[in-house]
Order: sequence, then C-alpha cells, then structure tokens
Amino acid sequence: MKNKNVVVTGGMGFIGSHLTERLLEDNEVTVIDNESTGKIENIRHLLSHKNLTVIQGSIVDLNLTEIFKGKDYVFHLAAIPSVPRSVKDPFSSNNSNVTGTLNVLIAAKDTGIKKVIFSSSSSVYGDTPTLPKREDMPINPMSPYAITKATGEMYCRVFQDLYDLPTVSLRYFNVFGPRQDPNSQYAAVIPKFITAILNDESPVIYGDGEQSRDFTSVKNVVDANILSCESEKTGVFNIACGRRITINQLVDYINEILGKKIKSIHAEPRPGDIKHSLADISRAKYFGYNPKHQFKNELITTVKWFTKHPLIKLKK
Amino acid sequence: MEKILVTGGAGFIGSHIIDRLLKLGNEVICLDNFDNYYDPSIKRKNIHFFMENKNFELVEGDLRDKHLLKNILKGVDYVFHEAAQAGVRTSVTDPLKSHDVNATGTLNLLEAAMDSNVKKIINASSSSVYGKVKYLPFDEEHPNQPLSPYGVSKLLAEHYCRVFDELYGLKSVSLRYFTVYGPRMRPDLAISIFTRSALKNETINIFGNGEKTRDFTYIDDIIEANLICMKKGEGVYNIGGGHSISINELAQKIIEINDSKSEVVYTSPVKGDAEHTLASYEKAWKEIGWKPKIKIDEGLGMYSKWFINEN
Repeated sequence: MKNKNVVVTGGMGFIGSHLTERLLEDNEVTVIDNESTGKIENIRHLLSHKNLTVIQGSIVDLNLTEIFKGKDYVFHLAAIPSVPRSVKDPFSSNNSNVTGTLNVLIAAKDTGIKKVIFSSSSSVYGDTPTLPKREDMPINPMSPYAITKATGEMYCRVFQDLYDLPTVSLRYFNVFGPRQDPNSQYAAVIPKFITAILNDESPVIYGDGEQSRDFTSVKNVVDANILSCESEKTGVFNIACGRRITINQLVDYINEILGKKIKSIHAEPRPGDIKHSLADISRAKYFGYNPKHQFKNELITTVKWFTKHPLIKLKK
Repeated sequence: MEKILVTGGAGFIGSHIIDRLLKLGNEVICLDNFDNYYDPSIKRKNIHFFMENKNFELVEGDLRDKHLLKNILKGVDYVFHEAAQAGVRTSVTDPLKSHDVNATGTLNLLEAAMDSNVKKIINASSSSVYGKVKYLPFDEEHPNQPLSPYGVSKLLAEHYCRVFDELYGLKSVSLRYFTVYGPRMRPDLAISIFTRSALKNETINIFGNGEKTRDFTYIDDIIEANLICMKKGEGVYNIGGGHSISINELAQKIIEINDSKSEVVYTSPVKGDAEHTLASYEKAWKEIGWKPKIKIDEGLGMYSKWFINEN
C-alpha cells in the first residue's frame, strides 16, 4: 500500500504499533489511541516520522468524523482486549468494543472512507468441538469479549449492506510477537510465559495445559490487514497459521529456546476460556494472505525481543 | 404476590403486561422515559388507569441510568424488560441510539440486577435477530444475520442476557417477538397505519412491492408467553403467530374488515427490512406449553373494533 492516507485506531497497541510501523513506510498514518492498554512507548521510535499524526483519545469520545475527513482507509483495532477482562467488566468492553466500533463505522460512512478493516477474534467461534474453524460455521461467542467482537462484525456487515461501506472483519487467532504486554493480570500467554521463564519463575497454566491454540505472528496479522485492504474482497476471514500447539508444548519451546527447564504450575481453568482453537485459513487466501511468518521462528524472534527488553515497571 | 419491574411499562406491550400483573394482585413498578419516538401522550394514556392502583408505582427514568436502576430493583422479584428504542427503520437512520438503549441499556439492567435478588429477567427480543432467511419457518437454531442495526442491537441484548446467566447465574429468558399488533400498538407500524388510512378511505402506502411476508402476533398471545416465562423456560423462544401473510394481503384484509374504499399505492422499499418472517413455535410449545391462540383475521377484527372505539 503506497501513498494512502490511513487511520489506525488502537495504533499504540501491540498489533496496532506494528501495523502503524509498516504502513508508515509508504503512507500517511493517523493513530488514535486512548492508552487504556496501548502505550506511547510502542510507537516512540516512530514519533519523529513526518507522516505520522498521533491523536490521544478514545473512539468513544472523539469527533471521528473530523478525523476521518479526507482519509482513505480505517484500520480499526481499538478495543479492550482479553476474554477474562471482559468477564470481570462487561460494561467497559461493550463501551469500547461495540459503541466504539459503531462510532467508527458511522464516521466512516459519513466521510466516504473506502474501506474499514475491523480486527475481530477467533473467540467468536466459542467452544464447539468442530475443528478447524471455518468462517461459515455458526458462531457461538461465550464471553462478553467474544460477543462484542461478533457484534462488531455484524455491524460491519450491516453497514456494508445498508450504506455501501466496504468492510473486512479479520478473525485473529492468538496473535503474539514483540511488544505484547506481559504485565497486566490479563496478559496473553506467550509474553507472560516468556517473562516468567526469563525470570526463572514457574509459568501458571489455567487447566491441564492440553488446551491448544493456533498462535499467529503479528507480522502475519499486519500482512493480512494490508492485503485485505488492498483487495476488492469484503467479509469475514480467519487470520492464523492453520496449525496448533498446546500450552504445555509452548512452555517446552520457550524453555528450549532459553536453554532452561522451568516447570509450570497449574491453576483452575478460567471462566469464558475456550479449550481448543484451530483455523481453516483458505478463505483469506482469496486476498493473497499466506502465513509466511512461521511459529517457531517468530517465537525465537519474540523471545529475543523480550530478552532485550526486560519487564519495565511503568510510571503512571 | 410478587414485586415486579416492567421497563418500558408505558409502552404498547409493557402496559398490557402491567395490566395483567396488577389484575393478578402483584406489586408493579413501571419504568419509562416517555421518549418521544412516538407521541408520549399515548404512553401516558396507556397507564392512566393504573395510576389509582395502590400496587402501581410509576418511575420516570431512563434505562441508561445505572444508579436509578440499582435503586428501583431493590426487592424486585421479576423484571419484564420491554424498554427499547423500537423500530427497524429508525435504527437505519440512528444506529447509535438503538445500540445505546437496546444493548447498553440491557447491559445496565443486567449489571444492576446482579446486586439485587431478582429471580429472573424476561427479555423482549425480536424476530429481527434472524435477518437473512436460510429456511422458513425460523426455529431458534436458525442462523442470526440481522439486516438492520436494530436487529444487531436486539441480538446483542440476548447475548448479554445469556452470558449473565451462564457466567453469573442471573436467570433470564429472551422472547423473540414476531411483529406484535393489537390494541395500543405503536402508531408507526403497518397495521395501525393501514387501519387509520382505511377508516378514512385514504390511500394505503406500501413500501416496496408488498410481497414481503410477516408473521403477525396478537398482543394477548405475547402477554401469555411473558407470564408463563416468569416461572418456566430458559434460553430463547420464538413467540410468533405461526402463520404469515404478505403486506399486500394485509392491506386487503384491513380494507375488507373496515369496509374501506382505500386504494393501495406502492413506493420505494425501505432499507433494513427483513424479507420474510415466520415462526416455528415448537420449542415454546414443548418446553413451556405456550402456543399462539389468535389468528390474523380475528386479531385484525379485534384491533379494528378497539381503534374505532378509541378514535
């Protein structure tokens, strides 16, 4: 994608910062982020770029119509992430993820945005046993987080049908990579476990560890966002690698990479968590998606990054 | 004798529910914000006769006011949740309001109910959660592909009800109403509009070609289902008439019933409308012993009588 003027909501977040970085190579980018989970640190190295505009604020409060005027595309990543967090606080998830998404779609349709790429989630599939997950399967969102993502997808489709706003919803399957936050109580498993093992602490596994995930490098996700935006295709697409590993295996790999033998400890499974996840990614191939960044290599890259950037306690 | 909150209690369906609940000797709180989506004086009229009843309390307030909800839920046993921003078409022009009231409002209610001892919430959902037709009649397993922001907001409310039940044990049941009609029905709906026009021998305006079909459900059947669900049922149920007619047929029936000379005129179709709705009520019959009793001809006749009486 070259010479476009784009908006990245949630652009200071883990995934958003990677996407912003790649887009800045050839485009003008406006980042919107309220830093509820995103951090200015994630884009500090980009701040001096002349094509970057940063707006600190929430998609729930800002005048998005003003911001979107004259832009080509919106990559909508802003959300409150995490399944367990939404179980504790469904209200905030509803506000950020659904009301926020509606605000984005309304502003996009009112300003002639050519396409909205919405970050959705594999959690919309729920815990039905059928694997791999295909986009035409009935969805069964179990947690408030999954529900907000499923609803975001529905609003995208309705806005496309009613107001001719082209939309793509990308169902990410457990994204991982450098800059993913290991700190919060809702942190994702890979940064949490890497950090634990780096510090010689036992990683805590909720359940028996035989639960599995189709972990996908953030670089694949960035590819998917850009490719889907450039293509004519619209609709819903799984973004993953099409393979899965168990949490127990993950611990083994991280230990292997770091040359350690830290044993994990087990705790009660968390409500809302799904047992197994695996994607069929043939649909995304329609817009040229191909998970070129393979799990093992990307895990090594990620571990290296966390080794170089040890846990920093942020001052608030 | 229970203490019951009816949200949207001054509205069409809400006021009918209150009527029955009071007749059964319950204590009823009516929450309504008298929103002007349609004439608030109609809503005042709906609850006029309850005002004298010592078991009736009116609270003028908004579903979006969490603090208020917490207060009025104290000591409440059941909630009939009818408050909404109704109207598929209005949601197309103002999707945010539909979402705010229908989804966020419901979430507010659920959160407030968590801290109280509410035994069950009976949630008014809608056939518009189905949307794109895969097969007819719709059973509760039919995929949900809402075609309007209204449909999405109603589906979201259902999901929240389900999740609060599964994760936190707050019991609820969602009733998918199929185009409700009857005395006191909203003035913006086809049956009220056609009846009004027919009685004045004015043109009846149909959006599109009139071939869309609807499963119309008479208000008494809706009330029955609600009352049964206080003590029975969980999950979602279709509450529909179980038969459908096209808008063309509807117009003809109304013209006939009212001995009208009205002509039918066709204008552009409206975005967001479902193509067809038709309920399978097998699940409700099997699990809670409910089925619709009033067919469209009888229902239209009763509505017409009421309308003439009122106007």
